[in-house]
Amino acid sequence: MTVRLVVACGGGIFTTTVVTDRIKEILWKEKIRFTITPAKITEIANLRDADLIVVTGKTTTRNANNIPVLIGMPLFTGVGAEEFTEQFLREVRRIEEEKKNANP
Amino acid sequence: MPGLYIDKDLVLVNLEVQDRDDVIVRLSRLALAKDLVSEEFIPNVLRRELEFPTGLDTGVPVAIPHIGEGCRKSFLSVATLKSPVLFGAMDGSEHELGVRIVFLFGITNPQEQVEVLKRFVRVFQERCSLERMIGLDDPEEAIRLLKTLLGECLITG
Repeated sequence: MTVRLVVACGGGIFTTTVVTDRIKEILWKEKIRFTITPAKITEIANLRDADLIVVTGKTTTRNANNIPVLIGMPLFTGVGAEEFTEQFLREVRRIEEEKKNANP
Repeated sequence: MPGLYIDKDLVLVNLEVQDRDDVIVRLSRLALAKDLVSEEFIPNVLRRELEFPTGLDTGVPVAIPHIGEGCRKSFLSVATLKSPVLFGAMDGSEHELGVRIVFLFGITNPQEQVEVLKRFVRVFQERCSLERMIGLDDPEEAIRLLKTLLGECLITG
């Protein structure tokens, strides 16, 4: 099962680039299949066709289609990165499991 | 080409400024004088800072205003501040941080700059490097320090 991720920040340059790269490293290491797409924070409220959104910046937005939103700043600043990685992987594995059950 | 351009004219040490916008405009004008950006860069980067603040609560608080629109060549400019200047925090906490160093970037192609951006993030986590940078009073020394931290990712002019 492929997990579809979206990484979003304000301007879509600095933090998105760094956090996308970190997420790829984490998921390659765990051998999890994924796609990753950049977006702008202003787009996340109405996103479809994604399983998980990681935001690197200021937001209190929720996704209208119930896609979970994680705040990914720890992957950028390094502060709390381990805790974030654990939480993130738990979420990704839960999504994988859900998709497996939906399409056995 | 990968890497960020910098030279001593793009570094201001011990700068006294009025506020956040003042330091952003002063650094942007240096880039404008070198034709690294077009006129539109300045309002773009100011607006961006207002909507999405870039202050980081690192060991020594820094801010990283950056944008692609209006940038002609990827560059880095730096200001160390004589007294802290308030920037909004990037983490969405609505806090304001008393920032001591401003790294203003223009980035034309982020995909090519992944390595330098990653190294930069490491530098933000090194309190002692940032403290050393604040202590410097010569732009050339600041560039030498950045060069040891960022290596070949920094293209010095």
